[in-house]
Amino acid sequence: MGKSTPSGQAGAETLPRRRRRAGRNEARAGVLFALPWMIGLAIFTAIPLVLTFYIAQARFQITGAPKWVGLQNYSAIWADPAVWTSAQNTLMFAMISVPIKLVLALCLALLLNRVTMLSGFYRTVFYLPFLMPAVAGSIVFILLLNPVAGPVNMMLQAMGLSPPDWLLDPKAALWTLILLSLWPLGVETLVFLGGLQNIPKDISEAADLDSPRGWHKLVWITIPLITPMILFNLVTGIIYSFQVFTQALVIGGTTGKPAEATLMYMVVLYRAAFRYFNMGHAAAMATVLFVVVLLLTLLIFRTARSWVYYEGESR
Amino acid sequence: MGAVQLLGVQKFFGTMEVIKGIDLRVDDGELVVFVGPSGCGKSTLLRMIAGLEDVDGGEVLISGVEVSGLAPAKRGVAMVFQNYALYPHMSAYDNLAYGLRRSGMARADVDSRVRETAALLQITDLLPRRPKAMSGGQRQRVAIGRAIVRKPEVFLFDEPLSNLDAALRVEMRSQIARLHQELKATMIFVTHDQVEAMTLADRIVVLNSGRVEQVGTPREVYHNPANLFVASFIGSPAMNLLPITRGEDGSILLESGEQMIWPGGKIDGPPGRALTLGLRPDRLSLVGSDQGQISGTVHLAEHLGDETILHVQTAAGRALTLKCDGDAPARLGDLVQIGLDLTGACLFDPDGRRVQ
Repeated sequence: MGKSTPSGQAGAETLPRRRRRAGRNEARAGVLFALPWMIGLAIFTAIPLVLTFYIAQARFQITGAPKWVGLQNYSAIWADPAVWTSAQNTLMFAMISVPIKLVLALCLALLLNRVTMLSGFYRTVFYLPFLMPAVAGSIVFILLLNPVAGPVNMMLQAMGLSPPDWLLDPKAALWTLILLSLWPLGVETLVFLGGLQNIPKDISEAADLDSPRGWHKLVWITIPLITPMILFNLVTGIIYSFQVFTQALVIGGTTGKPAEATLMYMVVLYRAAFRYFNMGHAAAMATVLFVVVLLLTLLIFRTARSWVYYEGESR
Repeated sequence: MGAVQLLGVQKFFGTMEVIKGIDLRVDDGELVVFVGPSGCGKSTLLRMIAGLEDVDGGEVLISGVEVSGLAPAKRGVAMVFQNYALYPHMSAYDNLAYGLRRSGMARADVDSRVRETAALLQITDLLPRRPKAMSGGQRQRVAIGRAIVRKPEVFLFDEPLSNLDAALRVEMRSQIARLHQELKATMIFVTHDQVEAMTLADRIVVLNSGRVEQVGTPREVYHNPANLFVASFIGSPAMNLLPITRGEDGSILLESGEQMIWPGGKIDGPPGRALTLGLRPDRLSLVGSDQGQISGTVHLAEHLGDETILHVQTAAGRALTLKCDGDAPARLGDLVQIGLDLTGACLFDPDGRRVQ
């Protein structure tokens, strides 16, 4: 009783029931579309992450089964001077390169935003370095900064300056690495450019009517309106800079030449994993890095509430 | 407050001349409305006065000073935009205070000026709110406040009411009129809405294709249109335009063959001269079966309560609009006789110029 025949079901079905069924079908389709990504996330991110946490508390040298050692790997990295040196270098690298990169990318985006002719060409040109493999880019820089035949030093000498030995002077080497990291600005610039182009024209014009000084508009109107892009570039910049590896390895090798000046945290991690096959040590380092970056990111997101303006916000 | 003077002002977009050498003077304390169809250049002209568009030819003078080369903020103008253009990340208070702070005004002075303006516009309770938390009308009031607070020489309004609903438009219109009375400010107002133009303006500037078609008071522009464009553009419903010829005795010869005497006596020119007769819809009326000059069929009746707008198709295929009493008996499909009252009628030559 109360059950209708299948043929009469569609007509007799109530609206909420039809909506529920449509909702279920939509959800099923959504899950199916997302499934490849979810499988990829599980295989390439989630499982390795869990394994890393596990191996960080084990002795594991690729061959053989991991042996549980508790927190021994963490005490070993605590006592390892190379880890401290590399952490210091990495922190220094991040603290200098991230703000400089953000400012440069913003300046470039502001310029590109004013370009009306050949704008697509300029955007492509500034994005191209990002597409170049980091190894190739680093080698080009090594050639450019060669103390004897490199064009940079030749130009500086021609201008009467005494150029540093970019790659062998311990005081200059970290700056060389920072310089190298600043080169591919394309992504940050495009993110800023997207934000700038999203600012309504009449708001920009209202600011022009309110003050004749361009920097007033930049500081009080433009920058506040692109704070979501600044937050994005800041977070991704910090994550990237804490993981700087390829350029550091090409310039300083696994020892961070000269005098460990370019020894970065990821290089030490790589050395532990693939030179000494001490996977437990490397996994513990990776876990510490993960926690540090996570905490930093959370801290930034927490402060972001007070300085990031999202469109649609009414508070 | 300042007068605005345009001397042979030109603007090109690429090779296209969109503002074609406009000469105009807006007197000190006057409220002038630029009106015209979409794309006629009214907003462009306003933006040229504001400094938001370059002037490609001619001069723009504010209070007698050539300002074409000056930055917008140095011209002594304030503008209210169609989309309000409030800074979305700032409260209403900060929106009003921004320009004053950037000009270096002391904090206490900024505060008193902002509160004084807010009181004038009755937006004091909105001051802590961000634009997103306000209705369209409230945002528009804040936008007007942002313009007023700086005490500019000239106020520029770029279709500021077009995003508001009908009731709010009427309210904001009267508020702008009141502000004009109180501030005695020079205001230039751009709109495509004739009602706004007619109700607000001291003088109306009718623009078409980058040219000024007529400048005059609302009554002048309505009753004495300079040409066919102004006649057909100003007034809602639009003026009826009927082709006529001059009769032998200087009378009017309608398409229907009916003859009428021109109120002023005779029509100028030779017999058979082709002209266009312009008659406002309120000069046409429904009459008895033998008294009408034109007959036609009602194909739309708009009952607006106190009045009815009838759209009639004549036997010659002309569309006529009549403004009748609200209780006019005509209905859709009725065959009606129309009487013409030539009082206030206009005559235009084939080039569209008003001749009589």
